[in-house]
Amino acid sequence: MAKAFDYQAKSKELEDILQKLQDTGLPVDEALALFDRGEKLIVELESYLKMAENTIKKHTAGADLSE
Amino acid sequence: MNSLSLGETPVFTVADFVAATNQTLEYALSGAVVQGEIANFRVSKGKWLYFDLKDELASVRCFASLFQLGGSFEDGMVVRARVLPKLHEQYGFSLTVQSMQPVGEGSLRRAADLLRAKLEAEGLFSTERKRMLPYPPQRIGLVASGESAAYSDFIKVLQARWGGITVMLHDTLVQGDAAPAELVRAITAASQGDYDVVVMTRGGGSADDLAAFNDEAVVRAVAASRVPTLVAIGHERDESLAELAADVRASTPSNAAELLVPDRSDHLRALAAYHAQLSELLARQVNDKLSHLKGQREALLSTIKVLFSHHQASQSLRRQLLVALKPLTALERGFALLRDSEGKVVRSISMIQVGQTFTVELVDGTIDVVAQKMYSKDKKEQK
Repeated sequence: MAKAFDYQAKSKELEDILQKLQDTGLPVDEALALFDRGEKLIVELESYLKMAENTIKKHTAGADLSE
Repeated sequence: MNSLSLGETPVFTVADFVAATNQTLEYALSGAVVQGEIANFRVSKGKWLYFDLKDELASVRCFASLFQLGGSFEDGMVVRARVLPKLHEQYGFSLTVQSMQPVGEGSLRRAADLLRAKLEAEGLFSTERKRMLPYPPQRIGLVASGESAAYSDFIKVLQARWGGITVMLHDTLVQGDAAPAELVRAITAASQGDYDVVVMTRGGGSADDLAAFNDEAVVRAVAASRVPTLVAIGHERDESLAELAADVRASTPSNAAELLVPDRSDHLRALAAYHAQLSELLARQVNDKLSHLKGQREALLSTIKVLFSHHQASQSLRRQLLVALKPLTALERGFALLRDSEGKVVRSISMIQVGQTFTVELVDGTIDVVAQKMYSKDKKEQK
């Protein structure tokens, strides 16, 4: 099974990147790498918000509830 | 049957008559439902309930086990009881009550009040028991009627606000006599599932319609759930005991979905703001570095300028010195240079003798002269 998209973890990573970029002592290549990663995360998160759908199932007695 | 025959009419012993009556009653009236008002209600030894069911014209004694009935009853309450009529060998006729529910708004409210006080005393509704719900959850166990508007409203609002969630419906009756047992079964199954939260919901209705959510077994099942619970029953003004026992209460099915998940449009707006912030922060980082470089360049230029001006000053000094030391310059100021016949510069009287010829070099020409007399600095004549 494909690993589920972890919105919370990616959202937290983005917030951490924004926090790190506040540090003016950051080397410029590191700042650029953080910027690239931040942009990638924003695209992924936006895409998830726009595309992700809910799955509705009906429980039947004796069914395995774990996926 | 141990009966004596007396003509056509059978004659029973008392015990046989009681047994025959019970057989007949069981055959004809087992499971009958009787509605009446409770009178002379009492609990014996914490286990048995004795009371009368009455109306304007009749009254009948009733017996039940506290365990079986559960709930909370008192005199004056109108109830509907499922009964087994029985003629006791010694105590006469009574109804053994198998299940019983309050009927009518007043009785239902009174029963709920009594049960509420009892469960409150047990700590079932205490805030210390409340657990946080994960936000947003990944998997929801939904206890509801799949045909209900509450179910549709919940799913509709959930879909509009957030995605990527798995909702498993535990379809159940939500009103009527069979509802409490069904609800307990559904809640128990859901609370054993791999869910982040169990949601139980139904729409509004009369007190009778919502009675199942004030049922003691249902309330206890909610309180016992291993998975955190969110319960939304009825409209804003309705408050069931099941909601009090839940970790979180929502006012309506739609409100339950609103409490469970964020609104994706809020997050999209926040992401747009994050994007702008990201670009701004990078620009600031680059500008900081550029301004640092500019500062370094200026410092370098200023250092070079200082060095250059030092060098210039030193050169000018040297030039002045050279000019001052140039022999021609001394001749211009009126000094003369003496050279002997070989052209050597005469620096001392000891280098020449009286009568010797030598040349005096001035700025604009030379004079050949003869040394007639010579004196040292102390005016002594030299020979």
